[in-house]
Amino acid sequence: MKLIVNGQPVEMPEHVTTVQHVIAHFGLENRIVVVEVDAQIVDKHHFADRIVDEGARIEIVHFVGGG
Amino acid sequence: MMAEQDQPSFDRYSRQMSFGPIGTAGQQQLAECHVLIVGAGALGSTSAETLVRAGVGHVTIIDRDYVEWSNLQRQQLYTEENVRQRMPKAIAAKQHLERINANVQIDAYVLDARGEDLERLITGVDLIMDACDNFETRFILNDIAAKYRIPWIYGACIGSYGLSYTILPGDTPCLSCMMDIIPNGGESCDVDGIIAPAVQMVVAHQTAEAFKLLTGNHDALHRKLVSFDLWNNQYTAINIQAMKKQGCSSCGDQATYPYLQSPATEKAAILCGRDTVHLRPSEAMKLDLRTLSEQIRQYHSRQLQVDIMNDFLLSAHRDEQRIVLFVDGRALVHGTTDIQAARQLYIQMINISTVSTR
Ligand SMILES: [Zn+2]
Repeated sequence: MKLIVNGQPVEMPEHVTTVQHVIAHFGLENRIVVVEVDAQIVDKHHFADRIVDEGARIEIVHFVGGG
Repeated sequence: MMAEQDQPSFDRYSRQMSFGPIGTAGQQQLAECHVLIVGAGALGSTSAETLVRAGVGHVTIIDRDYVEWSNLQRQQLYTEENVRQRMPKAIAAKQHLERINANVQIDAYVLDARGEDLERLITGVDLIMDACDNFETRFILNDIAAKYRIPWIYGACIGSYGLSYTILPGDTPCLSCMMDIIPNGGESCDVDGIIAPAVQMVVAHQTAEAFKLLTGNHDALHRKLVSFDLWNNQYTAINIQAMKKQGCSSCGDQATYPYLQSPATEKAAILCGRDTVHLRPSEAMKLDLRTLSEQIRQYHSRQLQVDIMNDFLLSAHRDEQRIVLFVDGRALVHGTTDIQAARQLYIQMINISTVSTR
């Protein structure tokens, strides 16, 4: 499946079907993240059940503390 | 006597005043504003320089650290001389900034910002710039901002990545709305490295937002959580207004400001990736560093060697460990991540000194 993640096209492996999978794909599963799918913010409690479709535009922001 | 053309004048801001949305009126507004910058590391020194050059009338800087070699690659206010003198960052920043713009009042405080310090320093502040290197301080700052209804601009970076968000109390979600727990240290770890452009990009967002806020251009505010990765060429902005929580303990109707409630206790923290422990006494002290340094030299020179002392701190070492003791009783113990070992060295130092409570 192809997704647009943070503005760039990314080919996802077969098993990726939910927002949670996308987050894990980028190694952000232990981070605090904000995710938007097709311009709609996704509540973090729904990461695991929010299905992502072919061509979905996903924005992911993860929080960091450095400065 | 300086010739007239050598005197600084309002004309120094001509390019900024020619920028329509700021104009002469906006410049005047900037001159009447007071900005508090929490942290004077990479973000703080960059932010401070921009705001001071821009003519913000009053800038207060808080920082707990001193200048080291590894800072110079990105912390643009500091020099090799500052490193050699182990200057506290807040002091070095003030000295440098005063040479850039003498018309700005700059106050500097060498301290580890806790609630009570911020409550004391917040009077008259129009805006808080986040330049912290840890989430713990940011949550304190978030509570202060919510309690006194002062806007603050979150900014953080690591590697080539950074993000920023402008928090307006009573309007946007706050930091507690965005995350219900304090993220642990892993994400601010120095081992991941950082490049200067990531710092400058975060600060570019923060200071542009600051100009908009301080000159009354609220309609121009970004209002989204912005992030970027300069190495992977990614730019993102998300509208997070929906994250605002009615029952938020920091900004909700029944706010309790949980991060201002923490009791004054002794605190020890391992500074991630720096092989350093930060120790903070339960109450601020006022150490007589000159006498302490003399006592070490006369009676304890077999265990401890004094490296340098200035008006703000004393640096000494014992074998591989180096301790930097500040006037307020805080210490950074380098060369260890063992809190017990750090504390042991600290207590040895404190016991030598004549302690007086502030
Ligand atoms: Zn909140």
